[in-house]
Amino acid sequence: MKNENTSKKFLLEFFKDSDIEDKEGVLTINNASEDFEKFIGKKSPYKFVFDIYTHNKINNSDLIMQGSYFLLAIRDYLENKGQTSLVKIQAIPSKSVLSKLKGERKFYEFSFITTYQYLNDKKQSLNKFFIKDEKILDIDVSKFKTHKGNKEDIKDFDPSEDYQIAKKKLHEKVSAEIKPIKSVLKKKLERELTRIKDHYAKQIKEKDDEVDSCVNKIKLLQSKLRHTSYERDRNIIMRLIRESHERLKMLKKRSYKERLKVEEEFHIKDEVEKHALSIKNTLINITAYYF
Amino acid sequence: MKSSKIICSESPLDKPNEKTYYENNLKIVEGFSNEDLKIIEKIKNKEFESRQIFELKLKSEETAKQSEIKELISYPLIKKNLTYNLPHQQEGALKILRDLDGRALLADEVGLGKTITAGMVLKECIVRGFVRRALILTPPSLVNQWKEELKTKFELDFTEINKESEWEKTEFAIASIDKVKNFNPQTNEFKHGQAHQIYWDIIIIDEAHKLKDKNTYRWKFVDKLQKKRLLLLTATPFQNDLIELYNLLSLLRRGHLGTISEFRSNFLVDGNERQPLNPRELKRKLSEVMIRRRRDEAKGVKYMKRIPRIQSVEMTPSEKRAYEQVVDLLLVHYLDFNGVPINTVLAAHSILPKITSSSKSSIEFLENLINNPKYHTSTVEIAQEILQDFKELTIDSKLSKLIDLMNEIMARDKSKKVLIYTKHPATLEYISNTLKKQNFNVTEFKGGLTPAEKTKRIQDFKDKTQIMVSTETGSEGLNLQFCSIIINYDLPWNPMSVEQRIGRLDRIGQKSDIYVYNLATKGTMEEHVVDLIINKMCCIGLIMGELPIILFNMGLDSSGATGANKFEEKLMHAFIDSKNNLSRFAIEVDKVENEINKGIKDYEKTKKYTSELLDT
Repeated sequence: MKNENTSKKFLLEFFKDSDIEDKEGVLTINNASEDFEKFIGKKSPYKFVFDIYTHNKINNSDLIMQGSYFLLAIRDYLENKGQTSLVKIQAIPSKSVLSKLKGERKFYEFSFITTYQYLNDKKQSLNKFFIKDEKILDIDVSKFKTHKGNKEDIKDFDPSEDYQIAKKKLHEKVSAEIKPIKSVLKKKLERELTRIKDHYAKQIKEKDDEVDSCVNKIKLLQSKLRHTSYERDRNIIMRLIRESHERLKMLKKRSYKERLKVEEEFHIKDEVEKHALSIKNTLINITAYYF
Repeated sequence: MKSSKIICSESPLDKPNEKTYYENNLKIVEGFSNEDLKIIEKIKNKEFESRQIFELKLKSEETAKQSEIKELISYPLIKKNLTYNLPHQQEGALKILRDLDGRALLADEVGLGKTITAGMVLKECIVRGFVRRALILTPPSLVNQWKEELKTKFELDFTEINKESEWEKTEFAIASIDKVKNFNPQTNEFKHGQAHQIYWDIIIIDEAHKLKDKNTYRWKFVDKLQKKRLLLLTATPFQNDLIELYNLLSLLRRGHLGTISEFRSNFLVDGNERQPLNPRELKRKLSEVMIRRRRDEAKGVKYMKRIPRIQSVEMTPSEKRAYEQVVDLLLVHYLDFNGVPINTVLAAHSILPKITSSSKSSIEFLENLINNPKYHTSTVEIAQEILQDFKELTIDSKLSKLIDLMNEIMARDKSKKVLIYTKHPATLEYISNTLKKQNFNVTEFKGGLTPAEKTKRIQDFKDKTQIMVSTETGSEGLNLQFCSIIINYDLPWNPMSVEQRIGRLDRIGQKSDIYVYNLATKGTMEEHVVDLIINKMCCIGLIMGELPIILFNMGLDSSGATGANKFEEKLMHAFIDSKNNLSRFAIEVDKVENEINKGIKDYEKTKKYTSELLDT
């Protein structure tokens, strides 16, 4: 239900300029913007439903749930929009805040989305940093009275240096955020690597044992040969020695150790890749504040 | 660790400023997007946008945020293309992704839709952004069927790999495993070794039981593929012994069942490779990597019977004479311009089906021959004589039989829909025109129609007309569950093509038993071929999807020397060797039948063996 409320509220806001009908669990959007229709490749009306039962009942409905396809598409539609904003602060709430804003009359807010992807999981986090003159600002802008800024009020904007600081700060935050993920992945990976290493160690040992047993067999046969005088028995033993030598030669010729090592490395690499953690940091907005 | 060139991985970073580092073997790739610099430039250029859009965007990130996999977010996209809802398919896909980390042996019984379950895994991974490069390996005869299912049900375009150079540029690749496994002993390399240079986000292998022997190139080719997720699909993970199962699982998780010596001592009774020592423990180990459901466990799956009906057609003496003359022309007098006999196997492959299809297509063949300068004058002269005989025919017994049959069907139930198949467009027109003259409502369906025309004609057949006459070309992917009667006016000599024809009706969602009518002209080889393919192969109670497995197991589904399907080639050879002597042809067909029976028996044995271990 919480999911339905959040998603529904969001859809109402996103389609606020369209005709919206909300009836019997179906949210119908009648005339979405042409731009959006073109992007998504489907003309409105869109019939949004929020549970599978209604979805099965209503023809051509789109099931909305956390992370569902339609919501992903809206996110993609907004991807390159709203990347920059300018906000004028009307009044500074207190002297203590004012003391933080010494120097230039502007500062920047950097908003990053970080996506962590590993195995079949994907997590996201939003991080915002306020930076003024290459220093982090500990500030709550929601307490300010603000309105849309006028770009003519400020001569120039260059957030490049502050961006570097924000990046550094983000890296620190991300490092802390990934600790639990890393711990889970390391445990899982370790288990898989142990399986592979054990498997190949045992395989090599089994082959080694085979070689040893072959060598021992030859020694035993040679000793027998020395103590045998019957021609027929000697012939049999000599044949057995020959066969064991051939077997030994074959075992060694195939250089099993090298071959198994290569195989082991391949599977280790496969598991390492499978358990890799990918972190994607995307700057989604810079807001310039001035007062 | 041996370094290997990786062409592409699923990393979601688009050419970012990224760095890779390792912490206790854990690989971490961290990056920033290049887009950042563009945003800084925008600020510098005083290009500002509304803050409200940014706030909306933040909310969109929140609602689109995917959590752990609890449900298939791609299902609504797939559902609209499916005519049924089978919960076990979704459950299977979820389990593979959530519990098995995308590496699994999907061993559902035949008929439960393993392809659909695998497709759901694939689509979910794509929608969630986990997969950028995917590979599907299938038996040769199933490549097109897979492509079609992926396109129509999952809206995914896979490109078939034929040449080695095609690997690098193909992100969604599909290939016949028989084709790509070729090994060149001279260079000691796989012909398609390029596939091993790519890091695949997901690989799906259909009918994976063929990977039972680790000493084969097929097994080695798959083992060398670098992959993050691997799905092996087979209803029978072992056929002769449990070592095959061990080999299959070695591809999924090396060492999962220990070394081969450990496996033998832990799981096999004293060297008996068929008898498990500790079945409960073996099943427990299997459950860690395998999903298996039986048909009787799956809700909503109902299987309909196929009821074969052979309609014998008695030729008139003049028809029989014309037919024999044309066969004789093909076998004895088919000469090129220089008087050299033309390859009989190839000729038989391309021409015989036309001759047996209808008098109309026989006339078409003869007219083409007469007007083509590449034939010897004696061949042309004979063809002219036969053509005259064909044109003088006043009765078409096969077509009369079809009309009688249609009247009989309609007399029983006027509301019934009938699908008539022919291989040849000329025959299609001929049948269609004749039926229309008899006041039947007919829809024609053939190659070359646009997607919109196709949809319209299907709708017409569903809502308005009684009959649809169709060729195979263009009818791939059709779902005609609302129809339960099929008439094969002529029959392809390839059982896979016949299966596909019947498969248009015999799908999940079909509510009636399916009547398979076949017109077979007495005194021709058609009589024997129809009996073999329909009565002994396609309508013997196998579940849809089992016949292709049997033919694949027997090595009969790939192409033979002439390029024709091997099974078809066998029949062509039988026909040529018999020199149009029907008794001899019948003996040859019996031999093929015995071979097929053995294949079916072997398959049933394997099924029983698999079931004894996995389902009890």
